Amino acid sequence: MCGSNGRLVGRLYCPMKRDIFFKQCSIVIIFAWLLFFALLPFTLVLVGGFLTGGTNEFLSWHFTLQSYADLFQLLYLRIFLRSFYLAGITAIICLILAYPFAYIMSKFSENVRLFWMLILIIPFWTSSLMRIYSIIIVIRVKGWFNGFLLWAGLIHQPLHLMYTQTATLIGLVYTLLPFMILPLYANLEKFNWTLLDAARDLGAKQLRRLFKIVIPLTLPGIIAGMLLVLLPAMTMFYVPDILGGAKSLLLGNLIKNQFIEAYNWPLGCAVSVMLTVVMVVMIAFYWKMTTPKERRELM
Amino acid sequence: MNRFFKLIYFTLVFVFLYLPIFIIILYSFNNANFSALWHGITWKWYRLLFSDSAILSVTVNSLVVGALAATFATAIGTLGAVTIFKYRFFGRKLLHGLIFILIIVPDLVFGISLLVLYSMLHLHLGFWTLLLAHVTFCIPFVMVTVYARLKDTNKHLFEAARDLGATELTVFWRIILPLMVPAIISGWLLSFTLSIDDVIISFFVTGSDFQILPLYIYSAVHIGVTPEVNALVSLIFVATVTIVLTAYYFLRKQHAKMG
Amino acid sequence: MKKTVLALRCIDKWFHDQQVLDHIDFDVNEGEFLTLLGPSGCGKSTLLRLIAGFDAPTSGQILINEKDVSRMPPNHRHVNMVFQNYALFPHMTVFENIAFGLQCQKLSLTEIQDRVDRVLQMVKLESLKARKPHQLSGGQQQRVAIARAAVNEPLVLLLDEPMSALDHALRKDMQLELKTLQRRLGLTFVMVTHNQEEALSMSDRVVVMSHGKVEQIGPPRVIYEHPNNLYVAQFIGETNVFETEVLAVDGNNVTVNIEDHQFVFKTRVALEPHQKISVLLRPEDLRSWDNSEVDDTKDMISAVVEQVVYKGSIVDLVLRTDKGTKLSATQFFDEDDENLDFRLGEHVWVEWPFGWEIILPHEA
Repeated sequence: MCGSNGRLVGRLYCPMKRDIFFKQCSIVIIFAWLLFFALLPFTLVLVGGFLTGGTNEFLSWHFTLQSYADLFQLLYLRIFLRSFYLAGITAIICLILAYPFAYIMSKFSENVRLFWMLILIIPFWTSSLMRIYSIIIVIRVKGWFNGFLLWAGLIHQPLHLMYTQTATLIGLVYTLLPFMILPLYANLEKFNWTLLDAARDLGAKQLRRLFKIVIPLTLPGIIAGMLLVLLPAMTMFYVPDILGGAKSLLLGNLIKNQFIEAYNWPLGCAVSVMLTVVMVVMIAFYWKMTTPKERRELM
Repeated sequence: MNRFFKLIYFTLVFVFLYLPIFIIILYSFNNANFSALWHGITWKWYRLLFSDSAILSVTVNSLVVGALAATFATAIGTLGAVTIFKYRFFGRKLLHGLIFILIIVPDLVFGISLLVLYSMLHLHLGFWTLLLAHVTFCIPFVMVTVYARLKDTNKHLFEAARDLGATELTVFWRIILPLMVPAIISGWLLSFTLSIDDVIISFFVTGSDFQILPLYIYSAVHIGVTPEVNALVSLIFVATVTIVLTAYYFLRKQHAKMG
Repeated sequence: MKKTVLALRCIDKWFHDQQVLDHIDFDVNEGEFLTLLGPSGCGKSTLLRLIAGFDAPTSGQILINEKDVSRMPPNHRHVNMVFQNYALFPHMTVFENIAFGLQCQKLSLTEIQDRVDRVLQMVKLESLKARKPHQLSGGQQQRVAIARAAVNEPLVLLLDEPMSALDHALRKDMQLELKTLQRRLGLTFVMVTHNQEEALSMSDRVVVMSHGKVEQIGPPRVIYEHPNNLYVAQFIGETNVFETEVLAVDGNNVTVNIEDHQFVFKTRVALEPHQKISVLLRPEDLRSWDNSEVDDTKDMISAVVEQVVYKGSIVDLVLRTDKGTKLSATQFFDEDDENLDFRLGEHVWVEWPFGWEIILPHEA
């Protein structure tokens, strides 16, 4: 009896017309915006690397591999390597500074945590350029840092930090430190501290607990932090502009120069694509090292 | 010993983070042009600031772009977050991916991408190109903020409203928006602070006839920034801290009341 | 004959390749309190959501007042729902919460005012109408949720585990109150619960479900005393089961061997000799006597006390028969038998009033 009576209906009910209109409008607005202002420009850069620079226009529709070939010139390779090196050092210093901070913070009570979180974020409500600029006053030859070291008797000659890689490094670490602290903190906050008690109960010493339990379990946070620090570190062109002079050129400065000074847009596009490839590789690595659940917790 | 170490460490991080801000504010009172040396206290720069029409106009530009970008990004981002949260549609994964990429991609790459787009469309670089860029890079941050709150909300609330006869539009205006107010305010403030401080993207997408504060400062760093700028940045800093802390204080109070 | 307000016709529901509802087919009468009862995952909540309109059946029809609403959105069905955690809008007052549905219908201000006040009076919340939900107790929140649904005068009011958000002590009170409220409102209630006590004490009829199928529909008393099958018997209350077979059939009388005793039972089910059957007995139907209290033990089963659980007005016993079957028996204190002093390891004789046993064909 049932078989004949049962009528197949659609998978979902049919909502009223107005509701469908609202749904479609919302989808179209967000989708169109992001397709036009995000996906399309990224695609154009990808394509732009294969075009030639024109005289009237910066990109003209002549296909060539020249820009990618140019990338392998010694000059550019050197910038690539130096950029990676600087970004790597920045990320490692950030990690060393950030880990204890995030670790200690995650053990505070909720209100204390909120307070330190604010303390951490407040400096970033000021012009980042001006903050970098005022680092000059600290690290220049007659600056506060040298003054302090001379007064403490730790050095006898002032350190020449300005316009060196070290100065760029200080600026990068300063700007990017919170981007390392936040994912680490998000990870450590959810850390199950009874695991450490269990390890202690089983006789693990302090160092072993750190290296065998805390660090492996906070690896997603560490990788996410690295991801958030490494990429901007290669591209924040204003930091070496202000602190490092022309000597330490970042990948970011190279791209900027191709667009603004050398007017070689295809090369600029090609370098950007290289950078994006690095980014994709790192994201893939992050994906491989984490479970979907860990990713949801961090992002 | 352990506690002593913690104290020293936190103090050092604190000094590291706040020293530059302290210097910005301190040197806004320095009685010397350009000099990094200390020449005594003066209010001169604050007075000069308010008679310097060039610096005031770029500041107004920055605030206008920041406020407009934050408002548009909040509107579009909120709608987007609700869309992704409520509906299952073709391309939803792609949308997720685009947002993730927009957050993670270096500002520089995004900046030149827009520059290439604008130049292919033969758009004149200026106010509109800048505003569109700022709206776009703020949208993902609003979406993430609002989406997180939506996920924490009891989804039966939306079903209950539908059950009581509300149309999708009514649900949006009368249930979702009021419940999202804290997230919307957070998203707006975050967008505003991101927008008025952005250097890298703005550098590529605006022209010489529309200057904003960060670019004005950037063009001045090589010849030396006047203490007027210190005064201005100090004022903006104090205003931002006041507004944001007040907002969060009220939001927290309301949050506590809602349980 | 009672009027049918809601009719489910051969409802099937698949989630991907998993069938969660299998040929659900029954009617709900006007003004009745019907309960869907079953363990979690049996499909009862899915069925409720189909009736409410949050999802559509894969096949089959849902008729409300003889109109097919299977494909209609929730706001066009004249059905309203009370959600598990009530889902009261936290940013609206009690009044605004209740008025919401009427505002969606675009009624006039005075009518909204009138109807909300009337329903507030019925649920006795007039004094709290300016409060926000977080300022109410659990019981008050439940009443607001019911009022919010009831004010729209739905043809069917759906309740999804309405007691689960309340603490244990409050539940008993609210069970009575909910039943009273239903009569006062004069609405048809369809409630989902996994708690059999709730189902039995409040409903006019109970629908017992398992694995997406309806096992039995009937008034609580029928469900309890005449379960259709072993599943229903075991889900509703505790049951002792003797697996055995029919020795002989004589009209309505069957001869059965239980624990090496021959019993003759009357049965309404047609049985054949050698057929395997289950004989079911509720713990409260079993009576235990110690050796000194009985003379004739012909129709009694011999057992040993394994456990004694004292519960005030009753004593729960766990007994082990000579053949090793475990039985539970509930003994009541009453004037005839004040001697309820059982010791562990004590030998007892077990009997029950003939006719109280339930005979079911054996299920694999």
